[in-house]
Amino acid sequence: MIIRIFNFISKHFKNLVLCVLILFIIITTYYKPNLIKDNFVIAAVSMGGEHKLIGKGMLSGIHLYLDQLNRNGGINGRKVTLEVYDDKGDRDTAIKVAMEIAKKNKALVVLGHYFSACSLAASKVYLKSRIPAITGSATAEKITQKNDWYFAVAPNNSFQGSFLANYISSSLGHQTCSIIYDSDDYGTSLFRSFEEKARSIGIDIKNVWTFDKSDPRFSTQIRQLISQMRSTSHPGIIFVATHANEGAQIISSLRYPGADCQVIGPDSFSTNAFIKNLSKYPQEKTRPGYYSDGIYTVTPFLADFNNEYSQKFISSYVKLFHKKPSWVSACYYDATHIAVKAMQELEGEEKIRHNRMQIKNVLASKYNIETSEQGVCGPIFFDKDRNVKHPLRVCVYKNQQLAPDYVQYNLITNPMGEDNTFEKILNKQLITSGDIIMNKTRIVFSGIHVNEISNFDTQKGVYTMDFFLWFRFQGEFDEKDIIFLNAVSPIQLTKCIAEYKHKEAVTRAYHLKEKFYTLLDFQRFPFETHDLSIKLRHRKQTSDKLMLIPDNDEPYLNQLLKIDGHKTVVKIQGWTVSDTYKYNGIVSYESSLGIPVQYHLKRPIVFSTNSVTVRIKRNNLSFAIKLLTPAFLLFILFFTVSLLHYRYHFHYFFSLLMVLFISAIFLFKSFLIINVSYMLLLQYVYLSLFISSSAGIIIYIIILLLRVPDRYKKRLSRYLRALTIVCVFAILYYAYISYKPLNFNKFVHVYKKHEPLNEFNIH
Amino acid sequence: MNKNGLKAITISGWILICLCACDYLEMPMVSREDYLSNSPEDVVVAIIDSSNLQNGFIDGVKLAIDEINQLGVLGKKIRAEYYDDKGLYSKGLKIAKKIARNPKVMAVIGHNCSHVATATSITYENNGIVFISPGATDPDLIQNQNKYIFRTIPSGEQLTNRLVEYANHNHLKKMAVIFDNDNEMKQLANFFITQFSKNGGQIINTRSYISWETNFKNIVHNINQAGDYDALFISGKLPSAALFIKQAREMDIHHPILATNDLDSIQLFQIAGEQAKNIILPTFFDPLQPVEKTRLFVRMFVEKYGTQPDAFAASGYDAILLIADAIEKSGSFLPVEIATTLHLIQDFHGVTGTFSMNENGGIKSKAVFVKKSSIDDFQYVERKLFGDININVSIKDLTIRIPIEGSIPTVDPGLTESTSSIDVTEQLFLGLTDFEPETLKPVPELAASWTVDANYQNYTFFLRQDVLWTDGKPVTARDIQWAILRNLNKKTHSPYAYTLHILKNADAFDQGTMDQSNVGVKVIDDYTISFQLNKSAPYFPSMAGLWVFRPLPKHIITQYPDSWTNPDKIVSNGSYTLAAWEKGLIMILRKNKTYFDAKNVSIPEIRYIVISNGKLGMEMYRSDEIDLMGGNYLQIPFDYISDISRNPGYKNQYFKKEIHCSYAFALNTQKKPFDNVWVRKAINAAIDRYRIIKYITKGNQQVANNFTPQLSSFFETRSFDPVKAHKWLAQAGYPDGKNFPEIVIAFNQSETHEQIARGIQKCLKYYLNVHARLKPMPWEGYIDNLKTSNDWHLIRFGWCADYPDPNNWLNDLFHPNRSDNVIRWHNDAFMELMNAVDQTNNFSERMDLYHQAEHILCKKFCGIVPVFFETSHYLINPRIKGWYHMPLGGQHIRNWSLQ
Repeated sequence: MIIRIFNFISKHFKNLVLCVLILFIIITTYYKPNLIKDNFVIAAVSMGGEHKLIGKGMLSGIHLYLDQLNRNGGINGRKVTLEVYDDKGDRDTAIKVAMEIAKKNKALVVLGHYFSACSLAASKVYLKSRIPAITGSATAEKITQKNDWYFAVAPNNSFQGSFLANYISSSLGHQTCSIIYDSDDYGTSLFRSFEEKARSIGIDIKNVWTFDKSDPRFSTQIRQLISQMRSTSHPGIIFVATHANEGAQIISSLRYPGADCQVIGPDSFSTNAFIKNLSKYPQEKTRPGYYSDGIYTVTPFLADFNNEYSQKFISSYVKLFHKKPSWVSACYYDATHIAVKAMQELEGEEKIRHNRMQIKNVLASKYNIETSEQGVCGPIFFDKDRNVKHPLRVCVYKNQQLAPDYVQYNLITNPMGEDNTFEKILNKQLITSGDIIMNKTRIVFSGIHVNEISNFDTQKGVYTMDFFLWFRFQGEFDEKDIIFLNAVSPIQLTKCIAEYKHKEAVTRAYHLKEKFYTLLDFQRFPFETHDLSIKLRHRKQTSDKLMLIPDNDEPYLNQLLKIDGHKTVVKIQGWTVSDTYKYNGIVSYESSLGIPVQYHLKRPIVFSTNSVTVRIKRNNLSFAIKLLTPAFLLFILFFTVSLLHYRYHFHYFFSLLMVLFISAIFLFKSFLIINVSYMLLLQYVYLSLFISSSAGIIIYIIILLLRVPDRYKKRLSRYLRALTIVCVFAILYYAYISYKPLNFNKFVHVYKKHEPLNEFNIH
Repeated sequence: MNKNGLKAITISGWILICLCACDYLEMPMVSREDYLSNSPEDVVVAIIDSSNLQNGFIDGVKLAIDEINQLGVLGKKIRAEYYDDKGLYSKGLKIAKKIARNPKVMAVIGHNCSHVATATSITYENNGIVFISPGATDPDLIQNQNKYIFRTIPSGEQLTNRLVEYANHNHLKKMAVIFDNDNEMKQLANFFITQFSKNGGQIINTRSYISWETNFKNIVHNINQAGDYDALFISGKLPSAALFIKQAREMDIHHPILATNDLDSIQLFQIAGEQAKNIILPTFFDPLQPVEKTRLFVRMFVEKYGTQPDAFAASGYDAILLIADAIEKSGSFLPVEIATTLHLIQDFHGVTGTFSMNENGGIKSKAVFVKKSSIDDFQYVERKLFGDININVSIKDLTIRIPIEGSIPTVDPGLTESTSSIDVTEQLFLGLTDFEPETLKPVPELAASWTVDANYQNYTFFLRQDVLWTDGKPVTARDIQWAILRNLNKKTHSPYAYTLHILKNADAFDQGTMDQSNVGVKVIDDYTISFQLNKSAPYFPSMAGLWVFRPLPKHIITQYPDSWTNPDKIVSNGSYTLAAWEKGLIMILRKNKTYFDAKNVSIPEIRYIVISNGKLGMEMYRSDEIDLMGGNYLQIPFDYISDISRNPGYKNQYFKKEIHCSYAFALNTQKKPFDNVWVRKAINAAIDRYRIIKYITKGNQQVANNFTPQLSSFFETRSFDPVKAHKWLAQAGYPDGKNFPEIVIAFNQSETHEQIARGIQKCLKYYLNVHARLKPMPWEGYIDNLKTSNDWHLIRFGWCADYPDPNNWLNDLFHPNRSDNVIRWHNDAFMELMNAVDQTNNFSERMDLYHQAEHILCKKFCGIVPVFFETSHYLINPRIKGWYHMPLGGQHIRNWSLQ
């Protein structure tokens, strides 16, 4: 009977395969939903030509979001496709592009345009054809004021003006200021809101100058303005509300040796164009930072500023594009995010007009912090003119690079909860803009320089690090509250090796040699690299109060500790340093804040962390080769004997036994060496050989014992050999697909179970 | 062929097996009692339509069954089995027999034709099935000995009785009667004749016809011959009766025709066409009757089927609900128990109205309505818009529901003071003038017009002659004169009596030194009244609309001086009358039918509901229990305002409006160190009004840089300027607040006032380094402090306009001699300006003078620190149309309507 079946199978093998295939096709096509809905379409207006770089930045943010979304199944199973247009940063083209979008009538939402002028021009088209549009960059108020289909996810000019006024008073502590503004829309709206706020919070405005770019006597105006300014005594901080080009011109004549005036500029100062224009001047060219150092400016997003919402974005961006995201990418990432959120709530009719209307309504219904969506730049919700309001990041130039200033602001979620809000506002502990209230987040720069790594225990993952640790901050900061997340035993920062003050900032340095540990991913065994790190956070202050930012540039400390000269030394046999990473991030815990009623409502408590990771690698490849060579040889053997003719079955039999025996030795030895609860890739390799060979032997014996003519045995043994080879591959393939790198973030705070939660006093 | 045959056999075999697998076989015969007593699977009710009648019976039944099945009855669902007897005996009997054989059926609803119902009822009675007819009106259907037979509508006699009533009301004294020679119709005609005669009517002639006749000309002719008559009564069925009507109308008979309920069908119009005019029918259902349940049913019906429900839809709906009610009450599915329960049901609230079952199975005490046909439709006549006043039950479609805080202290215009009283007074009593809501200019209301002499001192008002008191007496000039003198009388304690002192010799009368005949109000004739003022006042027409100037019903007040405002005694003249008043709970106003413009008053009923707090009010607003919030009514809590104003969900409901109210602090200009003007200016400039509004009151008010709202356009530069404040304080001799004594901020105790005062305290501390102490006071103490005491530096000072003229602000409040002079000043320049204003009649000149005075008060002398102008926030249900805001309070609901 069995033989008959075998016979039947071997005879009709092709037909059988064909049948199965047809059946498979029928079933799969049948189960495919026969109503495939169209993809959702989003239009993005980017830019090519001279603004190509910016255009790329816009698209990288949008793509990053949409790719993630589509990979995870899109919106209710429907993918989102992106139509990209190019307005060349030009008004007329913008109108054409908008008309094209309207004519195609596919896109549910338009993301863009980059420039205010383009957005304003295209706005009428969107209003007329009732297409919701979201800009992540245009900041003129008029865009959204006149069009209730236009939304902006970057804070507009007037918000910026009032924010800057607040900042110079509450953080920089200035009581007087002077203003220079461009008489165009941009400058005027910045100036108006700045002035209004300044007056209301008691800043004395000493002087106000303005100029008109379109005026033929423009250069004379500037010259006069500057000479007036130079002759003013104690002008206070100077707010230069101009575009990048004019800004650079004014700065270059304002800051000269001996002139000790502080300058704060709007977001145009944070663009590349500003530095580029400034670099045209010889002083700045020869000594970068000659003019630009110490200029304050704002930007909607700063990649250094890591919180629970932006961390994922920053890390996946870096992974994909190998650089830190610019604010343009971040803002358009947010724009895409909010657009998709609105699309997720679509229901009812499948008509595009209806859908657009729904999207617009959903966007408009996000009107306060409770209804907001968390974006990477801050919470996204719209005021009555459909603008987003969230605090901007204040940066200061240092060697032509933007570094965050020591104080930043965050939105308070429940501003009216406390009784003394009004007092705090008066005392400038809180700043306000319209309906929103912001509180301070402190920035502390912290640097770690690893001098030496030693005593690495590959089994336990424990190692000793010798390193310098320093903090740079303004005001008071107690380093004793710093805790190390992966220290073997608690570390006390007691002996300060250096302390000095530069302007307002204090730097304190420590020299430590401590034991740390890391989780080792044995699945990657035999590993070639290890990441050894130090990770620290503040004990009490959560990330909305305190943010740690890696400090890369510390010239004074360099001189003192000679860090530059020091390379990290690895005192572990056979390993060298491959790379060092310094980054900040977050670590979150869940807690009900100790409020009994809310015990079931655990909310995350988030702390800012700072880490340094040294990646070490083996000196040579010998280890892996040593481990895997036997397996390779065995596999060759396995494969060759399977080609033997049936009559050499004794050889075949013997070879398999050998494979079985040797692989068993390696397999069991590896279990003894590495004591982990999961299978390693290495073990899979030997396991596959072990199982296949043992199965081969058993089945071979059965075949030999069968009472059938030899020709059937021959044929069967052929199939069997092929099968065992396939078996090896199948097990290896399974090992490959089941391999998942360990998520270290998940483990970071698991190991300290004794850490009581009530320690996290969030006040 | 053979193969195919085999296939066919196999397939049919399979089908057979499939079918047999279903529960196709009839249930073995068990008795109904047994089946129904052992907890049946479903409650089976047979629904029998009579499709010849073309009505919405089945739709109504389905609606009711759907509604009941949402919850089930005693945990079971009602399953309906539908039949159609087409109005035929034979069909009806067949159906009845079939149903009788089915032991699952517990009740039968239907057989809407009287003759079928009567015939089949015996079968149901004998088989112990509950039978409810929602359509058969034949009196014979319901008989004493029957146990299981019911109906949910009045009998033909009960309906006809209503026609007799109608004839009486409409003075139809002489009647000609025509009836179908059918037993039932004849019986009704006889009944009508007896009842009509009993009520003093006269039957001129009686004729009968046979239903198959098609030519009625002879009969019509005969009737005309018999003599003069007021109306015809037809007791007949369709289609013959309709044909009769058509022919009678064609023969120029235009008298009203009273007919039985049987003609209540669209068929009437199909047959009689345009001739079907002026036919009066009784009916048991009115979709617009003032019962919330009925309204809800109509809404649900329209929503589901898109048409208005007819009488059969409603009674079918009622029948299902009635049987479900009986099942619930009896707790059983046994027909005998349900029938017993049904007999005992009292006051069942159905959608056709409330009724009780009588001992026989008919119904009693059910309202019967009258319809009159116009060209192609029926209109309800003698419709009672309201049942009795029930403070717990309101009909949303007819009622505007207004929340008020606290209570309404009085509706006596002479004693009116609180905003809620002002609003009610406005609905109940007419003033001589009214304000145009946009411009706030006085427009005629009770007065038709007025004249004034050149120096604005003598006004003559000519009254409308069509204004009546609710008891029918005309409103005359004497009522106004009497009211003014009454209000001036000290014994009345009229809070607004001071505004009457603009009248000549009012002061003297008040002090008792002069007779009332000398007071400057004179009746010229019944409809003309003149006022003599003691100074020139171009704004007097605005004042004349105030409550104290409104006419009062002398005849009632003299009779019931203390209780005349009770609902049973009050006599008013406005667009609404007081219908009910449960003090501290609710006040109900209803449309005044005697109001001269009653036809334009759209909303029949106003309910002022007393609600204790704003949060509760917000909940009620959201759940559609009240129609508006805010303004002078129940205020929206401040915490909600910023959210409401931004929430797009309230986009068409939220309104922010200005009102003429200021919130300010008066400065004691006699007390050190406030006697120094620079100190006062510094204090004024150090108060951050914007933030106080934004983060303390959170009420979205408007920042005030001056005191009088009408003059705010002159003062747009902001007062708050911390830099200058600092400078001015230094100028006064207190640089950085050094050596500045502690000052006292007084206010009457309230959470809001305290918060604002605390905000000011903090501003002064922060910007000027000036310490302030808060001094909360009870109301009486606060009033004393305003007038006499000097134990404060700043005192809360709020004011709302009584009439839209700056005179009410500057002269009435701050004249150093003529007012309470809260800021304790004496300023010659200000007094000169005030005197100059009294001499001027030119509007722009007056405004200019007021502007100068205001400038002295707020800026130059700086006697008062204005904080904000109050704003009203409203949430208005979009169903209210024509709503408008009145900055001085007291909107007229007569101009609004409900949608």
